[in-house]
Amino acid sequence: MIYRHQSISIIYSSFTIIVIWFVALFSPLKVQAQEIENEEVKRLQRAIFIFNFAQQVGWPDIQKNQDFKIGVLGPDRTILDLSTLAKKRKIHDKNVEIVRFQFAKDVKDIQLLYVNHKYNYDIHYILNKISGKNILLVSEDYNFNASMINMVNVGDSFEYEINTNRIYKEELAFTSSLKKHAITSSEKWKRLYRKTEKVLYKVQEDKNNQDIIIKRKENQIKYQKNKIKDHKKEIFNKEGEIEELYTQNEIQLKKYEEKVVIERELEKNIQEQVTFIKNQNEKIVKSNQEIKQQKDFLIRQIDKIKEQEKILNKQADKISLQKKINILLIVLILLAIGASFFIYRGYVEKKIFNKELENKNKAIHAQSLELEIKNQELEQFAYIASHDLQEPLNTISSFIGMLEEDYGENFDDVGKESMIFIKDASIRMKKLIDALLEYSRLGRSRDYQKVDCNIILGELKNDLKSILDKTKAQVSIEKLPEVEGSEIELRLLFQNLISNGIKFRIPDTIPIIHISSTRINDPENKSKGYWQFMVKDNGIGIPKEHQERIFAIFQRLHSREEYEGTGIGLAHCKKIVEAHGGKIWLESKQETGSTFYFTIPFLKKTFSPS
Amino acid sequence: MKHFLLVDDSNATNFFNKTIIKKTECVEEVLIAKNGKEALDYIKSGISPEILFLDINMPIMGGWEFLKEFQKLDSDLKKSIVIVLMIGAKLSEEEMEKAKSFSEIKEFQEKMLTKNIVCNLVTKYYGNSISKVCNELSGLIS
Repeated sequence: MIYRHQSISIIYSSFTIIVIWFVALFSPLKVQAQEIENEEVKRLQRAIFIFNFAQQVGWPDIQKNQDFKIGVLGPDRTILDLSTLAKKRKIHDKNVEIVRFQFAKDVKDIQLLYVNHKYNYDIHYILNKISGKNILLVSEDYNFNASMINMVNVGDSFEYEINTNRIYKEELAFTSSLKKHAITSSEKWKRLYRKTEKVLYKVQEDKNNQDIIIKRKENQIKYQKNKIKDHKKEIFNKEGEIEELYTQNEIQLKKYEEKVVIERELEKNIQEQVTFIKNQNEKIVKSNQEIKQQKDFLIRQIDKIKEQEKILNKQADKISLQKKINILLIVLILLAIGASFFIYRGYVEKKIFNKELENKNKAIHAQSLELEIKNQELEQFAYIASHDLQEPLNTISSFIGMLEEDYGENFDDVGKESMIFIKDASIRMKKLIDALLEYSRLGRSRDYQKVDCNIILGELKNDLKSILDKTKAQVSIEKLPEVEGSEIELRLLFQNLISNGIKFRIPDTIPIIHISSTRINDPENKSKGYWQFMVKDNGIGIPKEHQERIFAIFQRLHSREEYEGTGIGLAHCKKIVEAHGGKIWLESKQETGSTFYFTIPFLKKTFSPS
Repeated sequence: MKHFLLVDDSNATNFFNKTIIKKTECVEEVLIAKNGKEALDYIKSGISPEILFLDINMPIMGGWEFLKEFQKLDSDLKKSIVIVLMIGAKLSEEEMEKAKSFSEIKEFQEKMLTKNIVCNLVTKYYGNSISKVCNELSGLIS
C-alpha cells in the first residue's frame, strides 16, 4: 500500500513538470512553424522564377541540345527545388536537367547558371569563366547590375533586375515582357527599399513581441516550479499521517471482515428467498395480466361480433333491396329490348314495303308517262292523217261534181249508178275523216269551267228541234247539277247519247228518252265523290256480247242501210267522259232499250247542284 | 277582165279551178304558176292579174314567202291585185295569225272553187254584169 502511494506521487510530480514545459514551449513553436512555411513557399517561388527566366530567354542553338541544362553553383539547396520542378515542367519543350558545380571554372555545357550570394562566389570571376559559352547567369542578392539577371529578396517574394548588355554579349535573346517586369530605375529601387524596410521593421517588432512573450513564459515557469516544490512538501507530510492511520485500520478491518462474511451469507439466503418470492409474484402478476388481457380481448371480440352482426343485418337489407332493384331493371331492360325489336322489325318491314311501293309507283309513273306519250302520238297521227286525207278527197269530190254536171246526161244507166256510189263513198269518207279529226281533237281541251247541265240540255233541245219534231221523240230531263268540264265536249256527249236513243229506236215506236242524275259520295271523304248521270232510251237495245265493243272507234253493230252513221259517236262519248275523270257503261237488254250511265267527279270547290 | 293567176303546185287543183273559172266566162286568160317564184316572175314581167289565187304549201317558194316578196314590189306592179288565200282543210291558229298580218290577203277560200264562188268574188270586187254565166247563176239563185 505504501508503495502504491509513492508511485502515485511520483507520477503526479512528473506530470506537472511536463505540463509546465509544454505550456512554456507552445507559443514560440507556433511562430517558428509559420516561418518554416513561408520559407518553403519562397523556395518554390525561386525555382519557378528561374524556370520562367529560362522560358523567356532564347539561345541560338537550343534546338541542337537534347536537354535543357541548369547549373547550380555551390552547395545550394535550390538544386533540390529545381530538380523537383524539372519533373513537372519543361523549358522550350525540353526536359530539364540540373547539374551542380563546385567551382566556377568547371562550369560548361549548360544553358543557365544559378548562384546565390550566400556562398560568396565572386560575380566577376564567374562572368569571366562563363563568357562565350552562351550561358545565362541568374544570380541572387548580388549588387545592382553586377550579373545578367539578379534576383532580389523582397519580403516574401522576389524582384529581379537585368543587365541587357551582358545578355546580348552572350548572344542571347529575351522577350520584352522579361524586361518590362524587371526593376530598372533607381526610383523603383527606392520604393523597393522602403517596402523592404517596412517589412524589416515589422519583423523586428514581431521579434521584440516574441521576446517579451518568451520572458513572460519563463517567469511563469519559475512560478510553477516553486508551486511544485510546495506541493511536494505537502505530499510528504500527508504520507506520514496516512501511515499511522493505516496500522489502526488494519486490525479493525480484519474484525469487520469476519462479520461481513457472516452477514453476507445471511443476506444471500434472504436474498434468494426474496428473489424466489419476487419471481412467484411476478409470475402471478403476469398471469393476472394475461387473464385480464384475454378478458379484454374477449370483450372486444364480443363488441366486434355485435358490430359485425349490425353490419351484416344492414348488408342483408341492402342486398335484398338491390335484388329487387336488379329484378326490376332486368324486367325493364327486357321490355325495352322487346319493344325496340318490334319497332325495328316494324321499321324494316315498313321500309321494305315503302321501297316496294316506291318501285311500283315509279313503274306506274313510267308506264303512265309512256302511255301518255303513245296517246299523244296516236292523236297526233290521227289528226295529221285525217287532215292530209281531206285534201285529195276534196279534189275527188270536186271532180265528181264537175263530171256529173258536165257529162251526167251522157252516161248510160250503169255509169249514172256508178257515179252515185262514187259520190256516196266520197261523202262517207269525208264524214269519217271529219269524225276522226273531231275524235283526235277531243280531250285536248283542258280549259275546264263550271258548266250547268240544265242550260246545255236546254240548248240541245233547241238544236235538235227538227229531228225531235220529226220523230215525235219525248225527252224528259230531271234537274241536273253543275259540273266542272268543257262545255263543248259535254254538249257533244249529251247530243250523241240523245241522238243514239232516237236513231236506234224500234221502228214505228215513239222514242222516249229520260235523263237524270244521282249524287254519290265517297264513303271516306264527304267532300269527294261524283255525279252519276243516266240516259235511258226505249230503243232496240244492245246484246250483252256487244256491249264492250260499242265504245270502240268506228264500231258498228248494224249495216249502214239499217242505221246510218260513222260509228264514232260512242267512242266520242267514252273519250269525253274519261277525259273528265269519269267512267261510262251501259245496261241493256235487246228490245227493251238501253240505259247509259256515266260519272263526272264533283267540282273541286262546291258540289251542290244549285 | 284580162288575167286570173292560179298559184298552186297541184296540177289537179289547177286543172279543176281553171276549168271552173273558164266556165264562168268572166276572164280572158287563166294563168298558172307552180310556185311563188313563178308568180313573182309573172308580176314582175308586167302582167298584173285582177285576182290571184294563192296556195300556202308549195316547193321553191311558198305562199307566205311570196307574200313577203310581193310586199316589196313597186306599187305600179302591184296595182289592185286581189289575193285570195286557198285553204286545204282548216287553218291552225298560228297560220290564222300569219294570214291576218298580211293586208294584201283579201279573201279566204276552200281550195276547190265553184262557179258560185268565182262569180261572187268577181261581183264583189269588179261589179255586176261582167259575165252572162254569172248573171244567169245569180238569176237562178235569186
